[in-house]
Amino acid sequence: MGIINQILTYCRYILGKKPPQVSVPRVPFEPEKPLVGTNGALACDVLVLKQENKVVLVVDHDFTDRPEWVEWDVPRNVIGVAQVGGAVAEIGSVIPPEKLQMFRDTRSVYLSTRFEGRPVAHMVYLVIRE
Amino acid sequence: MTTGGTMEIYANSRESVARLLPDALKVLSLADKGQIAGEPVAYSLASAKMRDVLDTPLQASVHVTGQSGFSLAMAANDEVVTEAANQAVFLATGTNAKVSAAGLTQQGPSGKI
Repeated sequence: MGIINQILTYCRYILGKKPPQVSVPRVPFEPEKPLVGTNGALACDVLVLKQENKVVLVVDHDFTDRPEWVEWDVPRNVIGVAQVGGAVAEIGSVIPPEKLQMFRDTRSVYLSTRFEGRPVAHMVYLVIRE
Repeated sequence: MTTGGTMEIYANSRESVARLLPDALKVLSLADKGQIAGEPVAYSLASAKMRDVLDTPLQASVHVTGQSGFSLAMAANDEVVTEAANQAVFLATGTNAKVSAAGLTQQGPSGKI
């Protein structure tokens, strides 16, 4: 049966018959939405405090969008603050990479930032990229 | 309340330690009370007193980028947090420094730790 199908397919190919084309509905072009918040490298003061299983990260910057999570890129030694609008503020990490083990089991951090000049505390997830 | 004990503190300058430590302690205090979960919480340092933040003296191992670690001791008392920051910067930098809401003003060296 398989051989017959192959022969028939070959014959259709020889005769120039193409399989019917499935029409795909055209998706209208949507321009990429601009990122909201603080994006890119950020030069500001940073302090990390660790007591037992609690970690506090203070970033001395007035964010215009709400932080969603924090990621520590260990190879680059950069701390990223990802915000709800998609922007990621990157700050030089103050934690030496050799202290990775101390923070490996940390799932969330208490993050202090500024919003409209006022200090605001958040609890956000910490992602460690090794 | 935030208990003392040993803390690890990392910062990119000694002035950052002095200026941002009150924020870190206040946030830690709020976290200990379970007041930070889900929604962001606005807080104020102006009305905070050190006894609201610390119930035992703070002993911290401080690591500043590019410098060797040093220890920091801070007593719990009734002074406002900015005074605690003044004490912290004195202990950290060995200088008489004044921390205000506007920032840090150093008033010259007065010995080393």
